Amino acid sequence: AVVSTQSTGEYSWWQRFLIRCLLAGTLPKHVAFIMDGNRRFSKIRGITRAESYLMGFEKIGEVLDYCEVFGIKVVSVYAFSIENFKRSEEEKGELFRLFEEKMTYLLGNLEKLNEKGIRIKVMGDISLFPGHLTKLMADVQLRTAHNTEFCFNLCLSYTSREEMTNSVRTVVEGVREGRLEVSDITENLLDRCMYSEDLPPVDLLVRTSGEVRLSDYMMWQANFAVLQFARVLWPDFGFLHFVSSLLDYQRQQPRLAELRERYGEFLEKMRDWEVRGMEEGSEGRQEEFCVELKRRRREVLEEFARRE
Amino acid sequence: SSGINAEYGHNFKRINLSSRMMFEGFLFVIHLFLHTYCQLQVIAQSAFNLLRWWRLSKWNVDVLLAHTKNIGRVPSHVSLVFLEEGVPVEDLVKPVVWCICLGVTTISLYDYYGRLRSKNIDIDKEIREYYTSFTKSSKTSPKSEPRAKIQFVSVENGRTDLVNAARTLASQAVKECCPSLITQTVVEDYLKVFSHDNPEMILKFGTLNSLAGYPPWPVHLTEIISLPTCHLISPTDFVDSLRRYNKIEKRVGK
Repeated sequence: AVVSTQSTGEYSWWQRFLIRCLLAGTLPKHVAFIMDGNRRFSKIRGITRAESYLMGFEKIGEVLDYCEVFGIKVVSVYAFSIENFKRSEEEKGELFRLFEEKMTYLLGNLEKLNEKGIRIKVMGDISLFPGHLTKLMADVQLRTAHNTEFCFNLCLSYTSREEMTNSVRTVVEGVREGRLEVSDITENLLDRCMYSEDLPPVDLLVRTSGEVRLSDYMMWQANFAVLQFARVLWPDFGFLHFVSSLLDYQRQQPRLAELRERYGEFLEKMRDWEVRGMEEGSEGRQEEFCVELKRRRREVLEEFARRE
Repeated sequence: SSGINAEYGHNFKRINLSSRMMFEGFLFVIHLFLHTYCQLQVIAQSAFNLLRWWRLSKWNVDVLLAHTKNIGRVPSHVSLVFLEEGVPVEDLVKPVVWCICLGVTTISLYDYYGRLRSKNIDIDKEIREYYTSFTKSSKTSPKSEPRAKIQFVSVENGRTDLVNAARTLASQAVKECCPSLITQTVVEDYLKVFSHDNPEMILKFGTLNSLAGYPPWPVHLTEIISLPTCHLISPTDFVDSLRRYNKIEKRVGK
């Protein structure tokens, strides 16, 4: 696999059978993971926390392989929350070292990433990390930004509320600067101002370790997603667990698709109301605003990447 | 090995029609099993409650309080999310009344289409009737009128609420009376629903594993406890849910 340092090897006959069965149904375009349970895993297995985190990282590579097989286009993982900055210096140090190692590995494999069309995106306020990490994260994003086949979305220094607040702040600034009118602010515009920008909405959100909350993760994007709270700990998450998540998605998806369509109708009705109140040139202004926002964000990344 | 992996996504389409139909058939059978298992959970909950109906109908507020004495914490805001159709009003007011008896101060009822909101007068009446009958034979001193706040929420209060908050802030920015720094607290100030009043527990009814348009802002730390159905719900189902809620260790990032 390109993204992990280990290969998953061949699939057995029953795995190939299950894969072919699942491919006969609908599969999600965007899957998000809350990779919970690393610390509990280290306690249960009697290994160090650092070893457990490393196994967790390797697990990401394995899961990305599965996603490739099932044709899933975007995978998001909750790697580090803003709340996690409260952890001990020692634990943060372990995690930052791992991030640095993995980012460096990715930068060393750029050719393969670009060949396969894999885009690495980082969602969150990366300026909160130590400077050298911020630089690496910015670099890896800039060098793979043009890829469109597959997106690996890392949520680092991220919380959903911070993201939503940032999006609101962005559009309010836009109105203050005269680039937008108040009536230009629609759900679609707020969506495009989120860190996720043009990524498709989350179809399936899987949280491991049995916890049943979202912990401030992609609440906006996963508003209509299938939520799966799996009891298994993240380093133990395997092929069958993933198949079970996908089967759950297939079972729930028709009802959610219907609700989404109804929501689309509801938004259309609101849009009619909005359009009547909307001033001329609104769509054009929104488009220009989003293009400018992307440019500014790219500039920020370039600034980070230029740092020593 | 990456060659083998790449085979599935792309080459699958090249499989002949009869093979594809065979796999569709197998998938159909797998889903049939899963669906049956799911439906059995729903039926089992209702059947179990029906079998114990005689004993359960004797429950009143004293029995409920006795069973929840050492359960731990009762959340101050509970959100009841109804993702199933056709729940009779008599059943859906029961968890509301049980929450009130346990001292929950805010109870929000969510259903996608907002049908509950349109029936709110009927529901209010049912709540009062059931509350009266549930607390009638109480041996403890009669409580004054229950103080819980009950609100109805639907998909219209979801993302739209945040959009409206953004618009209000933007209009204020134009008039130059907007807060100079927009923080999370400021955003929450401008929300119409669940402003600084986030549900600590969601009790979700139905087999749909999704929040289906529920307001995205308030659920960052909400524990989502699921029950297969609200049909024929019993107080023991409710007490079990509270027990599950209390078993969870709330780490908040640490």
